[in-house]
Amino acid sequence: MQTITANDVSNVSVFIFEDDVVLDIQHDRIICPDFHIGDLNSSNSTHHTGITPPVDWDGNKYCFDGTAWTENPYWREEGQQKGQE
Amino acid sequence: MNFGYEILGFGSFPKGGYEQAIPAGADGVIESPTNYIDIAWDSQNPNKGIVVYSIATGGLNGWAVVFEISGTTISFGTPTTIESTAQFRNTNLVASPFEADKYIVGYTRYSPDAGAKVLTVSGTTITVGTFQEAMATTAGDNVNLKLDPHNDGKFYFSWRNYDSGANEATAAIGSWDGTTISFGTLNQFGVGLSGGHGGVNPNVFLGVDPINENKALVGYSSYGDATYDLYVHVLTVSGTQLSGHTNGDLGGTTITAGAYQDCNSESPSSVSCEWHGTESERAFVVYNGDSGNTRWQALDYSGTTVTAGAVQNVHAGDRHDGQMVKNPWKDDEFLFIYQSVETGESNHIKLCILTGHATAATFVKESTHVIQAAQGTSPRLDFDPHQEGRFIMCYKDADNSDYLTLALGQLLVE
Repeated sequence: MQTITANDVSNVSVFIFEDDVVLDIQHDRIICPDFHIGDLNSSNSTHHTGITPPVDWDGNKYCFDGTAWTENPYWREEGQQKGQE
Repeated sequence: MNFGYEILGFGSFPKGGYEQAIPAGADGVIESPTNYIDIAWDSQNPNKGIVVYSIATGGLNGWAVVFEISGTTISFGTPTTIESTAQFRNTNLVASPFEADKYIVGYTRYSPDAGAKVLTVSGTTITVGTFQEAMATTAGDNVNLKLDPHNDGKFYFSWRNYDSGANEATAAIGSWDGTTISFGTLNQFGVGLSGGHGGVNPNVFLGVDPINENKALVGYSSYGDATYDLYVHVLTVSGTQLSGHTNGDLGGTTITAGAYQDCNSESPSSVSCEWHGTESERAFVVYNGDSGNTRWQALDYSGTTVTAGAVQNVHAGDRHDGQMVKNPWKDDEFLFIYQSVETGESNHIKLCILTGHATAATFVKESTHVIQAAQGTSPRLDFDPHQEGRFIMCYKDADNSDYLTLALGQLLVE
C-alpha cells in the first residue's frame, strides 16, 4: 500500500492507495487516477510506499511518520474530525 | 415580463438528460456529498462554473469540480480536494466578477477559525490557493461570504466565532489578489447573555447593500427573552484600504456595527438576505420561522436603524433548509430553493419565485415547483450571468446514493 501524509498537519495520513496505483506528485497538486488532491503537493506532503495501514484506517484518523502509525488526537468518529492548528 | 420557469430535464434523473450525478471516484471518495454544498457560474466564460461540496470520508473533506454545459447536457471535470486535512463546513462560493476562472470559497475548518481560499481554474483543472483564516485560535461556524458590488476584489465575511464561549457574530472585510486572501480588522458583536447560552447568536446571515457603498446588514438569532429573536445590525465600513493589492481602490476595512434591532421572535434559522435592486436601503429576508413556517420580511434601514416589516408567510408548515437568490436581471425578483418537510413531501427539493415590493412589506409568490421528489437536501442555486433567466441548482440526492446532483433551469422571459 501507499499513503500521502500532510507535512504541516502532524503527518496525518490523508489517502491510501494500492501499490499499483500511479500517483503523479507535482508542485501544485497530486494527480491520482480518479481525482486530484488539490491542497497537497510536492512541498507540503510526503509519499510513503510499502506501508501497511491500520486495519481501521480512515482518512485523517492516523498519522504516519514513515515508521510508526499513531492515532490522530484530533480525530472524532462520524466525520467529526477536529482540526489541529 | 416573466411568467414562470421551466426545469430543463425535470424527471429524467437518473436516466440521463440534464440532471447528472457527479460520477463515482476511487474507493468511495465522492459518492457521499454531505451537507455543505455551493455552486457558482464563471463570470467571464459562458456555460462553465464550479461546485464545492463536503464528503465525510474520514474527516469532512472539501472538494470542487468544474461543470460545463453544452446545450442541455452537463459534464464534469476531475474532482479535486480543496481541503483534505481538516473540516470543510458552512461553505460559501463566489466567482470573481472581473476575472475568468477564478473563485473564492469561504468555509470553516472547525479549528482554526473561518477563512477563505482562492480556486483558479484552467480548462477543467482546479488549482487550490492557500487558506487564510479570518481569526486565529478559535473555531466558528455560520460562514457567509458575499462580494462587495462596489469594489472589485473585496468581499464581506461574517460568521459566528466561539471565542471564550461568547459565540458572537463576527464580521471582517476580505480581499483577494491573485491567489492571496487578506482580511482586515475584525468586529465582534452580538447579544451577550449572563451565564452564557450554548446557542447564542446562531444562524448568522449577511447582506451587502448593492446601492449604498460601505453598508451591509448582519443578523443572527439570539436567545434574549426565552425565545430566539432575529437581531439585525447595520454595518458601516470605513478606514484605509488593505495594503498591497492591485485590484484598484478597495476602500476601508474597519467595520462599525450599529445597535441591534429586534425584528421578530420567530426563532429564525436558515436565513437568506437579498436586496431590492433599485429601492435604496431595502432588504428582504426569508427564513425558517416559528412553528415550521417559512417567513418573509422586508428590512429597511436608515443610518444605523433597522425597521422591520411585518412577518409574512411564504409556506405554512413547510420547514426548510434553503437559499433565496436575487435574479440579477430583475430589480425585485428572487428564486427560493429549499428542502421541504411538508406533509407527504418530506425532503422534496422545491423552487418558487418570490417578488418583493419597493415599498410595501408584502410579497408575491408564484406556485411552487418540485425539483426533486423525495430525499433531496442542501439545495443551492446560482443565476447564469451570461444568459437571462437561466440558473443552475445543486443538491444532494439521497435517492441516488447521495450523489451530488445538478439541474439546469430557465425562467421564462416574454
